[in-house]
Amino acid sequence: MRSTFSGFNTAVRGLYGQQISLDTVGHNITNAGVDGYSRQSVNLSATPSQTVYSGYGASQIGTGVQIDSIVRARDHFVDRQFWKENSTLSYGQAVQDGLKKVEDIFREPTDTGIQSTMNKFWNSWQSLSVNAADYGSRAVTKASGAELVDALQLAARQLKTSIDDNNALIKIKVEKVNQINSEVFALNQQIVGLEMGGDHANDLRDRRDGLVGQLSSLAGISISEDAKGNYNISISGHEVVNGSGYIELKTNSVKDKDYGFEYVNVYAGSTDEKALVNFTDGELKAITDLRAGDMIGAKRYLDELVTMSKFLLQDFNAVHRAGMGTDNSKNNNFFGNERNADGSDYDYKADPDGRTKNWTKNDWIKALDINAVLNTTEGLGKIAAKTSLTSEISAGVLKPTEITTTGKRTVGTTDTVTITKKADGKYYAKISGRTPPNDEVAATYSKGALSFTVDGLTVTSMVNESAITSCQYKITGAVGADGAVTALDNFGLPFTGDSKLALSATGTYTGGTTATKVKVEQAADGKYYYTVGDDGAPIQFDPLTDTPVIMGMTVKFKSPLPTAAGVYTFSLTNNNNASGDNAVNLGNRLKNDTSALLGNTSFETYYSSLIADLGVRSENSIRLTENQDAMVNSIVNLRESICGVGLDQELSYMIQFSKGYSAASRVLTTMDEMLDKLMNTGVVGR
Amino acid sequence: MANRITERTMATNYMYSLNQAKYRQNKINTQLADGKRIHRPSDDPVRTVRSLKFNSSLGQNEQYTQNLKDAQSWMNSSDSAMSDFSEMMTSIKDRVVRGANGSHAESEMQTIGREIDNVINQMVAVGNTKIADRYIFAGQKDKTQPFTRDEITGEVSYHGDNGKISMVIQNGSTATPAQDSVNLTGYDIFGEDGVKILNQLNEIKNKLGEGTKSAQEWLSKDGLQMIEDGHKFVLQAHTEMGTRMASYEMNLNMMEKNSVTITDDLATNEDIDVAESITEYKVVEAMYKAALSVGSKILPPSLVDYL
Repeated sequence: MRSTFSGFNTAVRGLYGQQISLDTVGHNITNAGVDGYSRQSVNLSATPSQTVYSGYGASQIGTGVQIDSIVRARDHFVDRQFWKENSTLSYGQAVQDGLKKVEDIFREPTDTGIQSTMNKFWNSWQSLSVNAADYGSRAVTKASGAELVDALQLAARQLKTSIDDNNALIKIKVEKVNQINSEVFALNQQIVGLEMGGDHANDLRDRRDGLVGQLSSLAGISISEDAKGNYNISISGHEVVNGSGYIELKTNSVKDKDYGFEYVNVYAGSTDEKALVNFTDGELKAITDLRAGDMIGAKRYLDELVTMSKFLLQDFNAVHRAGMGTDNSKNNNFFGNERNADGSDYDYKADPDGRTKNWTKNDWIKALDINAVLNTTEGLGKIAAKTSLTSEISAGVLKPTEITTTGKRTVGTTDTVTITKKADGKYYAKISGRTPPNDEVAATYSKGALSFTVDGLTVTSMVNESAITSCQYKITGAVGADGAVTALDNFGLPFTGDSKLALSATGTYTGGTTATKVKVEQAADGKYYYTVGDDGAPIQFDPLTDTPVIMGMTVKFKSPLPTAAGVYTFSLTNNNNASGDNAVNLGNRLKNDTSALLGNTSFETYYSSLIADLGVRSENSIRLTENQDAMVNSIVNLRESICGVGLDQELSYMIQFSKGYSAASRVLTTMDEMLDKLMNTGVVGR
Repeated sequence: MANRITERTMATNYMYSLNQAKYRQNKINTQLADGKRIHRPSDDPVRTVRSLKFNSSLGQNEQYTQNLKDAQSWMNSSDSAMSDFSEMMTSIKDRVVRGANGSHAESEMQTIGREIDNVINQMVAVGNTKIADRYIFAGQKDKTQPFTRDEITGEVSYHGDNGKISMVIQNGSTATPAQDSVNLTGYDIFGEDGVKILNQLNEIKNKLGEGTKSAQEWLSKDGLQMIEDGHKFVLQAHTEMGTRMASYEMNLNMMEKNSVTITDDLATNEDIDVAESITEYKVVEAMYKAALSVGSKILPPSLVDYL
């Protein structure tokens, strides 16, 4: 027999069931905006029925409703998909940001990038080629070179700084990973504890999935769930979290052998090589790749700068060394400050003592500088704008003012003597104001000395043969006196200057910037001597047959020759400084000529392909990231469609459950009325 | 069945689209702000590299144009100096013809000699013409005064060399004197040692100074021949320079045309089409506004509003 009150129990169960459902609706609505929250629903089922017996046999009567479970709407496979794609998205985003920074370092295409300094440098060589003797142009060339050096050095420095920044970032991100791992481990334990009794730890699981989502953006992970509900998380093969604990990631710095900066490496647990973590995806992979990855690493671009630096130090310098400065010196470097033992500039290309064999890449960057020798005004002259030089000899100077007289005058008048050359090829001194045949005497010319005797006085004058017929001599003085002789030109004006003599020389002058003075004279012994410089020893030679080699130049004397009374002086120099052919060669070396060092491209092409490469990689990362972003967005939508809270739906449920609650209450009221009726039966009229 | 759509789905999608619209708006905005299509290599790697190449060509073109202009100013100065030389040679010739006709007294001959002496001095002065500190007839020793005259003997000496000043006007070529030299040296104008003709003139002057009968005979034969040959030599040098000037003029025109072409290429390559970009901007802006207003009207309504 069923209890009279069993209906109450059913109604109460109904009330209870509706209330729990309504509460869950409330929970859903309040958490609608919470990240990672998944919609929960109450699974209700009918309670076991009771058997009642009627005249027709036993029947099953319902006893109400019971709560089976409260579960969250979640698709674990969508989660896995999300974690995987999210890692890739984070990787792409970080790569995109990193490459953007590299683009900022190279600043192309702008008027301030490396390319513009390269153009300026080329222009300066061109300007120098048309105005090679001008020190202003030389200074501009040096300054433009310095600008190029600065631009390359700055880029190298900024690339190194970006590596340091990424090292610091790795440390921060690793700490975050450790923090997430410790939380996931704690949640593992709580969830296992709760679910031991068959419960569903919905909210804890939501939190754990949220944390794994965060972890997936940091690193590529693989996840498995064991039977008890623990998440086992592995990062690149190292299990970092499981049911029994978690392993902390550690960082350790390793020195780079090429550049000497530090790399922060990540290890799982211990810091031996076996525990090294090579991230497969996520932000951490991006950051590690951005340092030294084959494709996108800053080190890769540093290597390109090293190649450019090497080119300037080896190939460009080689052209510069072949040219000559205004001081005619060769083998000067334009870039670099390495010196040989004797202080001369080191040849980076020939590398005579092999010192650059052990150079690290960083050494090549460090070595790139303007040769300090060029920093002085004198040094500017060493900029090699010309390929060859023409040496020259100055006209020899014979001192014609050295007029000597011997004998005494026999006639005391003022005489003017004009020298003429007659058809017989001999010289005569014509004395003015006299009548033939007393108006002229024979004159002799030998080795630069012209001599004639007028009235007992013998006059000897040093003079250039070609100038003889332009000369007049005025003789004054009393009888018995030595007489005074002055030279006049053929217009009767005083003969003041020097008389120049033709000399020729062939060969290349080796004396550098300074001219070398050479003196030629006849000594008392009648032999000829030449003296190089002010304090050189006189060297004997025969001016008519010998061609002495002085400072690299073969000197040939033309008559007249000096006598004991006369001295030749001449100097040897060089200065074809307006020649700018090597400046053109240097310009071509920058713009047109290819180099094996640069993979058989020109310097300019090498750089623009570097920029093209960077642009393509960066553009690629942007495109991939955009695609990945769309993909992740669609996964998020899919996940949202499963676990998201729909307000319309929840409110519909709310109405449903509140009506249900009202109805159950109604049933209770009806039963109450029914029992009330029953209680009062049989007492009518009492 | 369609996916379940929640408020959050709609909000997320809405935000995503709004962001995309803003991103495009921003991109067009940056391009419009300075009229350039590319700001970093990744904006368009191909255009970036082309831009680098065009800029380099433009710089090259400017430099060669400058070289050409320098060369022209150099050659113009040389040209007018050469005209002067030519005129002076003619005037000397006139005088010598006058002096050699045998009817002059010694003193008259000397007067003519003195006149010629002055003309030689003028020629030396013109030979020392400078452009901004550079002697144009001194060969590659452009900082050295090329011609000096001995005050006594009247002989002229040349201190320059026979080197050519090259102003390269073509990409990739080395400095080849045959092709791009712009100067005349003393050797080109006055022959041997850079002074032969001047010293011949000096010799003529000396003969006039002598004023003798034999000197007159020499003048009327050898002297006049000397001047004739000298004048021819100077004229030849002048003609050569003229030809070169014409070719430089042509090159300059070509360079200037090239410069226009390259500037044009550069603009086509990296400048935006403003009309197109503004239209595009307007479209994106309209879309963005529509999204905003639709969002504000459609997003909020839900069952909540009706309970």
